[in-house]
Amino acid sequence: MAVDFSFLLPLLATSFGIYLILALSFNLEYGYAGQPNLGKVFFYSVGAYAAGAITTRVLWALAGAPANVAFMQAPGAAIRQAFARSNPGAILGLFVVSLLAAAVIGAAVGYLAAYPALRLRGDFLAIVLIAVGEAGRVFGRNYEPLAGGVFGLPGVPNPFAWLPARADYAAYAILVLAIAAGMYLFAVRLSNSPFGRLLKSIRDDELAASVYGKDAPRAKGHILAIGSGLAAVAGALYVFYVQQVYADDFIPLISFAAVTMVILGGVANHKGTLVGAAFMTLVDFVTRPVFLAILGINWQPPFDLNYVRYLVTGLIIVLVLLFRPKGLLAERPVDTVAMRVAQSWKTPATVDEPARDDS
Amino acid sequence: MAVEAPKVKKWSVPLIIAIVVILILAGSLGWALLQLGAPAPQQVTYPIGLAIATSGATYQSDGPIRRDAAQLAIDQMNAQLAAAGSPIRFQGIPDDTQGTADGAKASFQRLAAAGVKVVVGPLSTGEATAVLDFINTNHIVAISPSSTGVTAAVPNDFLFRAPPTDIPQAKALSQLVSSLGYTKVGIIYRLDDYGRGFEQLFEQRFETVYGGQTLNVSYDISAQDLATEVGQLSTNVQTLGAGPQTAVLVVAFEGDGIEIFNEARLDTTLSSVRWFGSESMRRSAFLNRTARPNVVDFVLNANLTGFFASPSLNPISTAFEQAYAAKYPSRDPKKSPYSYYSYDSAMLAMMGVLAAGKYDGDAVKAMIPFVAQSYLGASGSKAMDANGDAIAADYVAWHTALDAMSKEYFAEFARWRFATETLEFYP
Repeated sequence: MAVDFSFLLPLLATSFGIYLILALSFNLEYGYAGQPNLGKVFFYSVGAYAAGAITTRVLWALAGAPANVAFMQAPGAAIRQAFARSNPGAILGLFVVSLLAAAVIGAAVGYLAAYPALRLRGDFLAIVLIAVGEAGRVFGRNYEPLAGGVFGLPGVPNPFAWLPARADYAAYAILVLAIAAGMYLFAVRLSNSPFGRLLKSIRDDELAASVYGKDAPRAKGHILAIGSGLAAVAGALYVFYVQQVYADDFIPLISFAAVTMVILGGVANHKGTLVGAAFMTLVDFVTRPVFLAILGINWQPPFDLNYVRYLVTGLIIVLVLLFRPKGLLAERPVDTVAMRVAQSWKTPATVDEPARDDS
Repeated sequence: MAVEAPKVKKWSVPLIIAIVVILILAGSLGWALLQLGAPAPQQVTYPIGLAIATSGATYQSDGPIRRDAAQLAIDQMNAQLAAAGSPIRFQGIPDDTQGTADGAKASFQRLAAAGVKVVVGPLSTGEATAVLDFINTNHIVAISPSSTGVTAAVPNDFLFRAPPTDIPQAKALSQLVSSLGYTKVGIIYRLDDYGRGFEQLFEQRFETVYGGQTLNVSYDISAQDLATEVGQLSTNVQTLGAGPQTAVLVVAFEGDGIEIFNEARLDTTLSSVRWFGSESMRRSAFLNRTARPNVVDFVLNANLTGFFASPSLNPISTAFEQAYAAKYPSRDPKKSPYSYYSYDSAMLAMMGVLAAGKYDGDAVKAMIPFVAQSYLGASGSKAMDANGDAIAADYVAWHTALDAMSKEYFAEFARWRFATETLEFYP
């Protein structure tokens, strides 16, 4: 059976991009700052709800808000899709606005979530944030005015809906990859900055960092805001891909997917998150019957092949933890000018003055 | 004395030419023999995607039963095509949607990447609305075996739905409840698109058309303990006034239904009123005395009553059950009423392809309503309305009862006519 790459590549690229942003977000919080934010899915859903609610309502208003059509049902969604197809500027503008709004709202909610982080550590913080994630999902399911509750809110158009079929998904995948690349560079720069080193010092010994006059609670609040903003951007990108907000999508499994990617790739190593995200994307695809069909194998195994994915993922995590506990790519020293000088045995006079640690 | 290294004997050019010629001849001969042995018509295999959730909180137990029902239809069709000497075969390609909108979207993209143009699935209305734009844009036919929500009812799209929407059942049930003299109903429902959708339709109909009064409580579908929700239901029934005019409506599946009955049987208020159920409550598990005698006693005492689309039992459904049991002895299709619809959805998909004469989304889409018009399957008639949803047939009312041998069963006692929206009690 021939494979149609015009469907496959956009799917894999979009999944990889969204996974990567989620993993970067968790890596900054946990890998660098030691804050196990297992409520990652909550901040992801905040971005999705923000983007979905803004886009659908503004589009509905622009389309004339027909009184005889249900806003939250498929006919209403079809009207929004049609409007987006004929108004490229409107949907592209809404996409940018929604993305920015998701980032800001996600960061604000993340900063609020930092309050328990100031009082709790380790396992207790993780449990509280898992509960926050579940509470968010239950709220979304029950509060229908936000995004349709259990019915979902359809009709969040692809920003490139005005392009021909297939080109729309390809263009969106490229956009997601570009945003993910931007987020990656941002995360690398942030973690190599003085603020990144402050985070590592808090992670390794908060008391020692405090003794040196560092404001650990403030730094924790900042990194949770940044990480949550990133997760919200991932959620917004996700909702423009799925084209609807659906409360049941925001399950704890998403938080654990982020954890898996970081543990596999390597904690506090952004290249590791690249590896982890690529691993999750590929394993999710190659452990499905459809992959066998593409290879031309018409085989009905006596077991459910879909569950192999969970087995393989679990097995690889166990193996990595056993034999490479720091992940496939272990943590490396921060990439500062001073470190580069030390590694190359050059004299300080030959390089620029390193940035001052004023955090 | 220097030792001369032995000369490596080089292959002569004629020898190489001879070997190449022999290989070409042998290859050609083999190819010719294979051609002689090959069947005259080239076999064509059309993929049928099975975008059915088999994991996740909602479908991890129900999903595999429905998927296997669709695969059974494919196997039966292939056997029939082989017996007829047809070169056409169908290949089922299952893909777990995990019951989420995200999973459904990705599943359809994966199947499209494998060249699939006809899909059985997805299961829920939330998933269906998530894939709607994708299938319409890319001309992929989807036949959902269990989406019943009104939110996905759109004319002239590529989504077909084997069951009717919940609207006629809600009409029938509200009419039945009212005609039996009940004016107040305490409702407990699963908080998913099916439960919430049916509860809304019933409540609206019962209150606006029949002037009834309702109080409802929902529960999370992943909850294992429903004591709090059943307690709230009891409070609601007391608020309405437990008496001969008050009843309970339960909208649940199997596991959650058993949990609700187990909690309710300990409550004196809930044990004193009559219970009604959605069509998803007509399950043999609730009458399994060997496994759970207390639940059986409760549903008999509560006179659990509901509807099921007619004909619920016909020779095709019986044949389906037997074939299913033969192929999957460890699974029971009766545990998932929508497995019958999955079987029919797969049959409709394949018959649509055969009738179209080509594997093309537009052609299959055009043929499915025509094929469905004259198809009577394991779940009854599949004639479709303008939205591509099965038109509701008549509904048969049932209630729990004991037969002459004191064996529990679902006794049918009335019929609701879809065409006239009238209720006819059996003499």
